[in-house]
Amino acid sequence: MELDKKYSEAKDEALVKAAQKGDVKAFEELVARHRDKVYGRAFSMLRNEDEAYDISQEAWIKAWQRIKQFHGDSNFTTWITRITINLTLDYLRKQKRYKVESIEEQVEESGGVERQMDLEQVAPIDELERKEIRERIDKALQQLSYEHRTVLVLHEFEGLEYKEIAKRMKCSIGTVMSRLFYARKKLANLLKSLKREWKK
Amino acid sequence: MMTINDKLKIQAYVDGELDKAEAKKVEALIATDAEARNVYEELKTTATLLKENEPEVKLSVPRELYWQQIYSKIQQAESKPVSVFEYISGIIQLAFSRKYLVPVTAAIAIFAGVLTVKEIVKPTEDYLVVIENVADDIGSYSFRASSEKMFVVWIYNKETESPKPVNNEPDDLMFEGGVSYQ
Repeated sequence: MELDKKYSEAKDEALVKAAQKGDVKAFEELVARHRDKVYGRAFSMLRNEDEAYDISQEAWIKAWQRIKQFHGDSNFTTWITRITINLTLDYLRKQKRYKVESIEEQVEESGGVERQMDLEQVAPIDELERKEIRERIDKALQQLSYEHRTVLVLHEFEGLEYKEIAKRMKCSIGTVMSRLFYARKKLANLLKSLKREWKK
Repeated sequence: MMTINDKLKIQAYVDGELDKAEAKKVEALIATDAEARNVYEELKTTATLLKENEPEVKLSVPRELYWQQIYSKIQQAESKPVSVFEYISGIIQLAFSRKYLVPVTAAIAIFAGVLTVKEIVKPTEDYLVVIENVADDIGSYSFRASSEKMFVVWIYNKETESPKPVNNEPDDLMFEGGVSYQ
């Protein structure tokens, strides 16, 4: 009991150091703390529960195998999430779910370059509204192509720069920029009813 | 009329990807061109909406089961000998979908019981054991053949199945299916 308390109260940094010395219990605590985040990131890109589950487990196994290579340059959550992203991208590539899109195809999918996004400034919202907004964003993300969804997840949720995204998705920065633009446009069209409900 | 490249430039400005000189040019454009300003506002709004409202996803699988699966795989990857308990529970987890968490958990409890009996008895002969199960609808048998270094555990649904040995002769003791460990 005391031992469990020691782990549950420890900071991530202390748990990482212990895990680097081979302490499996410390690693187990890290898994317990961050498993939702890891699974959630894989799911946000794959939109498949079973695949996301398997990728999340693979990410934790890789993390254990490479834990000694983690030097604390970023926080642990960022590190394990990056492992998850790389595994997910590799998986998508192996599954050949990424396709090469022409600008014309992207334009068509997003509803046209000239169509204006039907969104305005969002007013302050309470938790219930936020939950509903998240659900609607979730549904909208589900309707995007793998390419568009991935670029949005990496940019908006992970905060990666264009060149980082290009490196991970193995494409040019120009491709990242156009995918991001059309992904936002399509998403905005899918969420346009939010304007009526939450605009100032 | 703005081109797609103009719009991508505005997007790069919204995302903080431009150097100072380029950023100033875009700022000037936004200040003087209504269409550019509109594109800027739209991109900014969408980006903010997403950043502040990432959908939340939670794992429904219990912490212990999730960790046990990871730990088993870590051990396998490190080529360390895996305990009988972990091996069998891994097989069960593969055999059953995650939606059958309750029966799987019950099965794991049965295996723990089997292994406990095995440790207590420490037999040198082949033998058949019927394990008393905590679950009402799940029954189990185990069979150990020391000479063959074989250990078989049979789990069945009491309501729909009642596994009977095909042949009661000890040398031919077989069931019509099941989970085995060798």
